[in-house]
Amino acid sequence: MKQVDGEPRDEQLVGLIARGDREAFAIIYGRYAKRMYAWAVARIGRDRAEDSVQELFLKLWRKADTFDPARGSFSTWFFSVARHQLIAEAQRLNTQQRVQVAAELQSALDEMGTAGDPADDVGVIDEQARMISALRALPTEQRLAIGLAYFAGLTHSEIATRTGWPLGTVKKRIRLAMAKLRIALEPGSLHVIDGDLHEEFGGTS
Amino acid sequence: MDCAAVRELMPDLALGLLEPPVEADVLAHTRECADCDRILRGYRAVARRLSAALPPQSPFHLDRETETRIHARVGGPAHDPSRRLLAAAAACLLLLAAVGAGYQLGRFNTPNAVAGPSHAGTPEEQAVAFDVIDSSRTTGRVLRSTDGSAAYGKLWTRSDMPDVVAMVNRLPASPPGSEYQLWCESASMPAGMRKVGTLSLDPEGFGMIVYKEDRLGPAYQLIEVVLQPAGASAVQGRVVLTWTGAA
Repeated sequence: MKQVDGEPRDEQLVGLIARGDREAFAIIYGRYAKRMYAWAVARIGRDRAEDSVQELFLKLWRKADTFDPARGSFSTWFFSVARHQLIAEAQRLNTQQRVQVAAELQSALDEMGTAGDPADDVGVIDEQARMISALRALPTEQRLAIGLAYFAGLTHSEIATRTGWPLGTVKKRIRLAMAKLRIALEPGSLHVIDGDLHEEFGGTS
Repeated sequence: MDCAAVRELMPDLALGLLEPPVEADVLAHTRECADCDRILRGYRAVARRLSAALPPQSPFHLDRETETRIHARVGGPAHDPSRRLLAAAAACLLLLAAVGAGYQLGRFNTPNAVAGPSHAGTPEEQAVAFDVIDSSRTTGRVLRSTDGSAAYGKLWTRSDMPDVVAMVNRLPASPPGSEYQLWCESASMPAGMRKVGTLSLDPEGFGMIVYKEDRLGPAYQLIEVVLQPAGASAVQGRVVLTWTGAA
């Protein structure tokens, strides 16, 4: 199997899944289950998230052969399938359930990047500690933007609606935050300075 | 699309926020531009690692138990019946061969393990052992004798399963009032040695334990088979087989 960085690519794996390969399915599950669960919690609440994620991966198993690598990456296709499913499920929630989900989401976003002090936690591996530190170092708005995009699976427009920020501001905050995190996680990087971003974004603020 | 435009879109690509045609343009550029490709890999690494920033108590956090449960539920129907039958048949053949050679499967006693005993007789549990041992994602460890004897042991894990299979062979019968116990120390959550179970041997000195950890692909830093006073709950006997991650 052709591999990139020692790991099979998603697009290769989904081709195998379409032919009934259980092991390929397990690898894809390992790569995406955590994030899909977070999306489900954010959109429909923890009580319904488990069933939703199960349904999503069953859908992947049944519909893997409909993925066309010529039209884009697997992740974009899979995220699109997930968003459609979760939006449909969220529309079935009643008002009380929606309030509950919104409260859960807010609580989870508040806790993001607060997984204890990495330096004091023996079980936290270095990579995780660096990610937590980097997230903490972000301005609040950038951290929120990342949280809504990554953990809640919201699109730019949905984040703009939820936060009241202009669309351009949403995009800028996500890009800046991601750039800072990427630089912070590079081998040998100790901290992030805004100057590091000039190379990529040419004088950002 | 030039490098500056592509790099501006990379964070969105890594987060799955781009429309497919735009994404295709970005990817086409990165296939031709090594510098941009390197930066994109960095963004993808961020996206993969973000979930590590969630505290365990976060409602967003998918705990191991739920993760394993969903996988089990999805994995069940996902099995191709013919593959499942083949795996079960192969496992049965494996076990028949072992029994034919005079082996018997070990009794399992697991005060510290997450799951209960894996009764070796059912096809499902045989299939678990087969799945753990026979995979490209399997990691095996050989336990060496501490006294130069021919006895040895093996322990297998799989990176996408919480199940663990341990076997010993050619161990001498345990003296009256004593038993062979399997002890392990986790590499990811070091908290000292813990007893996994008791090995019951056949006349050839063969025994096997199948057990389940609370995480996928469990890693260890020390594994020992210890000749212990029967029922002992702390290591106080003689180590007969050992494997260490530092070796």
